[in-house]
Amino acid sequence: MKRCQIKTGFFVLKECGAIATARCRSCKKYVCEAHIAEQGKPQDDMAVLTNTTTETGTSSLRKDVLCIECYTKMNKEKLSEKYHKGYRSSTTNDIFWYFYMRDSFYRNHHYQPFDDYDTDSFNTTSYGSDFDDDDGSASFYDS
Amino acid sequence: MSNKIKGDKPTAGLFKTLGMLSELTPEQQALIKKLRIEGTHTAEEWLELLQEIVLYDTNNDAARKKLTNTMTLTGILAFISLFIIGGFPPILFLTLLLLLVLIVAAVLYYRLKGSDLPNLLRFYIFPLINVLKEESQAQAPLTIHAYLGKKVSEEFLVKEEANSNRGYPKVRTSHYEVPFLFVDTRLSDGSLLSIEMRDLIRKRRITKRNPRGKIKTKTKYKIKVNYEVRIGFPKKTYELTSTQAELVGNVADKAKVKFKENEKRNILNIRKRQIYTNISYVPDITFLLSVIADGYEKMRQSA
Ligand SMILES: [Zn+2]
Ligand SMILES: [Zn+2]
Repeated sequence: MKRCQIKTGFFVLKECGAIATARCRSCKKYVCEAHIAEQGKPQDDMAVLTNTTTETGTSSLRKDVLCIECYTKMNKEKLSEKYHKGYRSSTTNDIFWYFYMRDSFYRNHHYQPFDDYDTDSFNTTSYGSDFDDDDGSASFYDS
Repeated sequence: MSNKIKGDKPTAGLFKTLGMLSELTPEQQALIKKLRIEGTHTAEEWLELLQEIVLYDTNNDAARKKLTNTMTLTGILAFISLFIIGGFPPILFLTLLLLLVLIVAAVLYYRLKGSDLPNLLRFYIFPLINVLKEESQAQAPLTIHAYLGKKVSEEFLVKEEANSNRGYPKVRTSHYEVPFLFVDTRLSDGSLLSIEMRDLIRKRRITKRNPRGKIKTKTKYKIKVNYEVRIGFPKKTYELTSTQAELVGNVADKAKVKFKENEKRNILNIRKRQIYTNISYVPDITFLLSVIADGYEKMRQSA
């Protein structure tokens, strides 16, 4: 069983890890259902699916899909037209906005996210105490 | 496939929209009524709670737009029909019918207007929860306190002053301080994040007399959006990229940084502000993310 290799997160990237149902035709990454951005027509899907099954005898990964990362890179203009004013969707989970926004943020702010989730230091268990209280909540009204 | 790009066109019609409000849960209805969001849930739960409200709000906005068009059109037609009545009296029936439609549309409009939510929810808090969801573990509690109501109101008035001019222009300046968003959560890298946003609003009512003696009043706003972001980075995972002295004080692009540490954490307190002149502005989410990014950029992974 393959796991989705799409990176989620903003400041710290980590692999999605959900069960992959497809493989991106462009970057060849394994992709879960939620991170498929574009796919062929249903009948084409079926053809590819059958082929794959007989070929490998095990998995049934679709191949004619585009992952969200590749889609975002290939459709910058279309996405910027839709989102140049920010989030304008009424759906809970607009991953197109998320990946478009993240992509342009990294570029515009020259931000380099942490991307090392498989090392031990990022494996978080429970950290005990919260913030020490400081003067943070004091008013800073100074107009 | 639900991921496809859609126009996000609201699908419900006018009457369905009116019905949607009554189908919301008591918690959701209370939120719309009080214009306050308060509580601690996981990001997923928040999205579930707010999804239907956001959908209702989207349909509400669309329905009111349609009603405005209807009111304009029937108003114009009714007005035109008045001129025809003289030559063709039976047109009076049409005039009355048009006025009836106009009245019904107006009533519906104000009913919908009463449960309208500011775009702060749809276009800011909602996407922010989406970002935080991707940034934290599924069970992480996310506390949100948000005020969605009117900001220029007595409740938030700090001081008010009028200029001492005996003549014109007369200027009355009112200052408001409105804490409108507090967010607190734990990210999946173990960092603690808290965000506070407050508006410092200066409202100026300027009354002028032009050379012809006509008196005119204008209202102008200046809104300073103050961001205070606190991030507690676990020492186990991160260390500072520079000395503490280099870290704090006024850094480039007007951020103010304070530093504190305890046994387990390096804590950064970052303040930044953004200025708007439109009172119904929606803050820019990438600005907030850039403040958080400022904090992350001062860290590197512990050796
Ligand atoms: Zn790809
Ligand atoms: Zn995935």
